[in-house]
Amino acid sequence: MNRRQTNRAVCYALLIVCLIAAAILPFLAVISLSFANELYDWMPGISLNYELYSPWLMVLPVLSALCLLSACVKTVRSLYTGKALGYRVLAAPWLGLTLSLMLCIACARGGPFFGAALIIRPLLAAGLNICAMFLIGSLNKNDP
Amino acid sequence: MKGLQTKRAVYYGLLIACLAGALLTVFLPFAYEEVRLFGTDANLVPMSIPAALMPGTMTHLLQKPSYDWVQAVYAAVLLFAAVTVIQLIRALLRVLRSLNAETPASAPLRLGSAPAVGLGFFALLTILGIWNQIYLNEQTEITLISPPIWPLSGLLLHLAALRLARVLNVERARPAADQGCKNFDH
Repeated sequence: MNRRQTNRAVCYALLIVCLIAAAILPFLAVISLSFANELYDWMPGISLNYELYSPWLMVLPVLSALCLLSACVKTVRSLYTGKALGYRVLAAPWLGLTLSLMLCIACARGGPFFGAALIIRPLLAAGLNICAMFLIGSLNKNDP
Repeated sequence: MKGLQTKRAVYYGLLIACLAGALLTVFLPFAYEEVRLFGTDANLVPMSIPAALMPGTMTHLLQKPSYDWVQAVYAAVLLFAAVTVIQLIRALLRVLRSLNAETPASAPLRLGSAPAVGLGFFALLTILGIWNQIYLNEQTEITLISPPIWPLSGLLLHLAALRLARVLNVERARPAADQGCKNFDH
């Protein structure tokens, strides 16, 4: 196996990791939101006029996870078959990025005390989605 | 691509991702600690000793008077974090050197003391996180289930890296062992 093929295989592995991590992180973000919501209820000195957490927020990570994990399955299949990554795999990180940015906005409403701590997870998910886009682009460009 | 070699390269990729992820889990609590310092001057959550020792919860330490020994132990935790970061970067460089080597035997895969140091650091943070959680639950009198996600992720990533390095070293040794058997047969 030459250097180029090794690099391709390493890129595949990194892409799989990026997709899985980007699928998990939004769930953690929503769980943290519900945790922060409960803590705000208890805090005596500060209160929010709105609910940070709503069950509807769970729709975002579920949608994102479905797309990203299906892209992950297709990537694994492509690793074994050698076929190029299709438009569905390319579209998944774009959708994941959009949903993570929506979650970022939801987390930023956490106020000064929790906002910065909450926003890290969706921001990281957004970063991983961007990495996935670059990796997909690089793999499709070097497709033998 | 040949099956076994692809598998090896994929394992290398996963190992790089594990080490990079572990590096991120050390840095992230510090990153949001710095952001949170600008956030508030409210004295809301009573400071606990584990919270004061954990990176990422220094806000409480700044708002409440603290013992001197807590500051000293916190400095030791920071030093431990710095050592972990250095070890992880060295391990990452070794993995890249081993991946780029012409033959697997010319650059064997050694993670050094990175897994031991990292496992120790994250085990300490996990214990502090659980202790802090119990303390918070007692203070707030409501049951908040928030496991220390970052330290636990760091622990899991280190364990995964150890496992992958072991698998890669076994794979590396196998062709040499097979060759040895052939020579013996002749």
